[in-house]
Order: sequence, then C-alpha cells, then structure tokens
Amino acid sequence: MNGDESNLEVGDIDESFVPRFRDEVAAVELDGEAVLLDGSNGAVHTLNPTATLIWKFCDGATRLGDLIEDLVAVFDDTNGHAIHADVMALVRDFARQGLLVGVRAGPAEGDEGTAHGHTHGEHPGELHRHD
Amino acid sequence: MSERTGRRCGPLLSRLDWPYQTAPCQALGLDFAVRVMDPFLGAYLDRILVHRTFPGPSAHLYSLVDRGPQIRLRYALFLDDNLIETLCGPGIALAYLLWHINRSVIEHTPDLLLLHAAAVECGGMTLLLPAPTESGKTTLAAGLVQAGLRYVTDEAVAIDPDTKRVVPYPKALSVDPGSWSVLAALRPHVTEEVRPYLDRQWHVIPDAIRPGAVAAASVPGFVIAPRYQAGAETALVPIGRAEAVAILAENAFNLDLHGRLGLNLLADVVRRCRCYRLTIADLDDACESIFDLLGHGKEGRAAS
Repeated sequence: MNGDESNLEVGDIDESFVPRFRDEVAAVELDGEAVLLDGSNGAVHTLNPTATLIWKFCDGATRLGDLIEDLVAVFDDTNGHAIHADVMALVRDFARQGLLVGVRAGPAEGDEGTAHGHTHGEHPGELHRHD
Repeated sequence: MSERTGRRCGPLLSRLDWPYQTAPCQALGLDFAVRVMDPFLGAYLDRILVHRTFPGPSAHLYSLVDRGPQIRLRYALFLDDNLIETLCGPGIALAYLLWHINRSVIEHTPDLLLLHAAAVECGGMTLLLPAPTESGKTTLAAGLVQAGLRYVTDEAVAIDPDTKRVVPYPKALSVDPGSWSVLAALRPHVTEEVRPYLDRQWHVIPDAIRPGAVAAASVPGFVIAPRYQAGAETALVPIGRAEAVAILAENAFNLDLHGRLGLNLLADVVRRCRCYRLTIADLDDACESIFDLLGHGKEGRAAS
C-alpha cells in the first residue's frame, strides 16, 4: 500500500503506508515546531517538535515501518512498542484531519480526540495541537 | 435578514431627498461615502469616519433610509443600489452600518493580509493584539493609547506583503457597553439629536483620546493575544512562535487569498516578534504588564 492510492480508510494505514501531505497543505517551521495550513478549508494545525520531526518524513518517499525502525534505533530501542503506537496514532490523526494524500478524512477516535489527546475543533476556530 | 435583501433599488434611491452626504472616505482599500436622511447623523459620521485626501466621487455609496418612526423596521441600509438590511432602531442601524463598512473594507483590500486584531505602536514597533470578537481587543487598545502608545486599529491589522509593515486602519474605536465603565473618560460628547444612535456602541476618534495619537506604518515587534477573563489574574505569558503563527492564521480574514505565501508572511513577521498570551481581568494591570514588557514604567510612559 502506498500514499498515492486513493480512498483508503484511516484504519487501513499500517507500516507499509507511505504518507504524503496534500499539495493544499502549506507549512512553516519556527523554533522546531511546524504550523500547517490546510488551504482547502483554512484549518490550522500546530505540531510539537516530535510531531514536526515525523511530519518531515511524510514526504511520499518513506514507509512508515522504516521511519518507526529508524526512530527506535535513534531514540529509544527499549521502547519500540510505544514509538510504534505514537507514530501510527499521529499519522492516522493527520489522515483523519484530511491532510494526507489517498486517505479519506474521518471522525476522530472517540468524541474528544485521539489517544494523543489532540483537540479537533471545527474550522474556523480551535487550534489543533498535536502533542 | 429581510426577505428583500439584495433587491436593487437604485432608481428609487436616487429620487429620494438626501439632506446629508459625507465627504469621500477611505478605509484601506474601500473608497466610499454615506448618505443619510438625518443631518445630525450625517455630521456625526463625518466626525468619526476617515476622509480621503484626494478629490473625486466615491467608488461606493452607502444609503441609510429612515422610513419613519411608525415603521417597525424603521431603517433600511443600502450599499450602492442593493438593500443590505432592515433595522429597527437608530442604535442598531448605526452599529450595523459601521460593522458593514468594516466588512466591506476587508472585501476591498485583497492585496494586504488582514488579521482580526487590534494594534498599537511604540517606538516604531507595532504590537499586534490578535483575538476573536469579545476578547477585549478594543478595550485594551484604548487603554494603551490613553496611556501613551499610538493607535493603529481596533479591528483589522493590514500587513503589506512587500514591506512586511502594518498599514494603519485608524477607524474610530468601537467601544461596547461592557467597557463603558472602565473607559468612562472616552465617552463621546454628542448632541441630544445624536445620542439615540449611540445606545449600542461608543465611537471614539483616536484624536479625541490624544491629539496625534494615530501611528504611521511600522514593523511588528510583538504578538500579544489578549483574552478578557473576569475574575482571573491578569497575566502575560510567553508563547512559542509556532503558536503565535497559528493564532495569527486563525484570526486572519483573508488568508485564503494569500495561501502559502500568506503563511510564510506570518512566519516572517513572527520571527521578529516576541510573543505572549495576555489574560485580562483588570485593564490597568494589563496595560502595566505591557508597559513593563516595553521597558517603560509609569514614569516612562510620557516618552513612549
């Protein structure tokens, strides 16, 4: 499976997925934190430094599984399960927000956000904070 | 909204008697005048609107028809030939007219990046105060101008993408009743005839706060996102630049027109700024926090 296929569901995302942000999503990075602007609906998302690092690899060239293995090797090879879970949750959250190519946007997990506690406000209005 | 909203009535409007039409006005990209049937209201509008300095007819014309006190929706507001809204009283009619002028300013200023924010200036640097409605922007800007800073706007910050400077939009400050007690010194002095138009809002001309209070174009130096919170403790808290960009982006009026370049412009602006959130419970304390930030104590304010 790769990011160029269309109409994937969020739940279809697995280690073989190759994430890429939609062309309408503009981004700037300040002091290690990215701000994303979805030009299709004006929604604004801020990413903390960890999420910003992962965002940089959502480039249409990197398999999620490879990214996770690299993160485990570099940051914490005793905690691979947690890193795997965090990365999958974050990328699925990007997908839910409609930011990724080839994946249909969908409702958040539960009413209050994802396992990361991200907020999911209606546009325009709330800040979406991925941390 | 009236079911007749949008109806074109130009020929009829042109045949009505208009005792007063304001001088041509300029507000950022909007070139307009207002004609009214009450000459006292007309003269008042000429006091609070910013006139343009070059001659020639206005590109747009607002018309406020007074249908008489026996009609429930007594006032009908038109822009050029089109009915915009019908309104029941003088206060709401004037407040709606001024609100619609602001809205038109935003529509007619596509070249500048416009933010829902107040702003003041000190020492050649703009303090951007971005926030949604009812956050205390106007009250804070009024307090800061009273205390010695210069006025840029209380509603729409306009950033020139080429120069990255803030272009002043020094409209009269729109002070809502909730702030009348803390800004009592700014109560407009008006005649009996005009007073009924001010039951919804005061319109405070910056020069009435202090002659020469309007700022020139300047570069942003601070982003301070205010939020009024009764009963809280007034506090100025530093925030990251990414958060500041997000706040500005979420309070942008026309970021959709500027897209990726607009986001980059906001990032360029913020990279030069110190960024904060300001919880406001007390106006004097909030102003004091900002003057401390600027390095001016009470004694230094006169020099600012």
